Amino acid sequence: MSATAPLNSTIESLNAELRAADPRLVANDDFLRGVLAGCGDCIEILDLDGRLQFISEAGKRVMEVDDVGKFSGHVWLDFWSGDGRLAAERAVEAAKAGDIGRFKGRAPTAKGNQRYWDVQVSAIHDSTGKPSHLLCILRDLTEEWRFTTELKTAIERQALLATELHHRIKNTLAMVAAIANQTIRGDDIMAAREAFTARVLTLSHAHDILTQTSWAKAPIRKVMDGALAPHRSGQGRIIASGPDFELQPRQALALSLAIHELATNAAKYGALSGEGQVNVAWGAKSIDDVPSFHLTWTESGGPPVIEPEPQRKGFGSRLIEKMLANEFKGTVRTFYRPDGVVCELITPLSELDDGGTNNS
Amino acid sequence: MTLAQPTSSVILVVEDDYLLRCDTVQRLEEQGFAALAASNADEAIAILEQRRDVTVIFTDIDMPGSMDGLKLAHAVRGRWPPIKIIATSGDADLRANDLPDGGRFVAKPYSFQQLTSVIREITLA
Repeated sequence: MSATAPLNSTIESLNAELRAADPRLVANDDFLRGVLAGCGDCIEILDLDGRLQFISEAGKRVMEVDDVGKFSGHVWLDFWSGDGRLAAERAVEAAKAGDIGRFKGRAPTAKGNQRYWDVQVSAIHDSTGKPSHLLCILRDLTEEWRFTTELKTAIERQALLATELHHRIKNTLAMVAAIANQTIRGDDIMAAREAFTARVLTLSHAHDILTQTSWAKAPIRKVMDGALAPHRSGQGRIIASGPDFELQPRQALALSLAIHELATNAAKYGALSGEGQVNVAWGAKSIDDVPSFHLTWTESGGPPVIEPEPQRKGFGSRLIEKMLANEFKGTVRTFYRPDGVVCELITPLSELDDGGTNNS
Repeated sequence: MTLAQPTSSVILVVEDDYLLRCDTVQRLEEQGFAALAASNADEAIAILEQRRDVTVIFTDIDMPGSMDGLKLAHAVRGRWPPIKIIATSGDADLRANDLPDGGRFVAKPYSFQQLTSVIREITLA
């Protein structure tokens, strides 16, 4: 398509329209200046070799040009790089051939700030209809582009989170189903219901803590406080202390459930059933030359302790001993000492940091 | 409650979550199956190398470690073709298609009725 043929008629009809509006507008430099100054886009004129000859006032502003002399004669294509460069070359070729070249691309301002531009390149023709210059109009689309990019990222992230959440819910429901299977046994339905609800609430508290960190880590103190809260009577009989540690999500769930079971047992048969106390202490120490994490639950001052028959050890004991050991990849031992139950977890300190093996 | 099962059905449960693993093993045993447990793919492979009597592997798909459940399923099909494969995941969308031929998918959470009927179907087939 060549723009040469209809050019003269275009100019004539433009002049006719201007004359009809106000004859003073025809062939008027002030009018041209006014249009250039008033247009918010960057208007640039190049010679046919593609060197920058002119840049409009608004252009200097959006291009952050202080000294136009520095850019006069600059090869316009050199403003572009990468994909934008290719598109700019094609647009210039199109303009020279009489078409309008359009593209969108990134280029820095004179001060080096990246902007995203909507660009249109066309030829300016002389009175004989031959191209004399190239006209480039650049509209700053940075805001829109940034918004669109951020929106795209947000949508992708949203989809990812929805998938993760779905997965997490399914896993949690599977856990709840397993707890139900294991808890609702025997003839005492009322007791089973109580135990089931308490276990699900413990899981729920642990979830609250994990939600705050987007399921990355859980501070041990919060996990401990959350699991112990329902068992505290306000008399200060449970003391929990230790330095700050971050737990893996599944360690947090396992510890919550284990502490809940220990506290439940203590209230039923142990120190908390009488006048006794519970001390929970954790920390790091070297065990057999391995930097280790240890946590000890110590009951004292309660009724005399009798070790339960192995066959009477139920799901609660497995939550304490097996699940805890499993999720911390450590050892859990329970001692039925006459003055109170002691339960001890020991694991290499590295297991607390091991993000790669304890997710999902 | 114990239902009569062919004693030849030994099911290997591969699940990284302790609660789910133990619950599944226990429930299968209550249904009269012999069940073994592994907490990851490497453990599962080690058990299969030791024992010749495993007829079904029931594996979680989303597991940490060197192999997830899908890779494990394909490895098992390659090395022990007669072993039937059942996989589970909280992601219900896909995954039956990604399993080896004849592999079955049970969405998490699953009921034991569902699981045991799939086990019966594939072991009787």
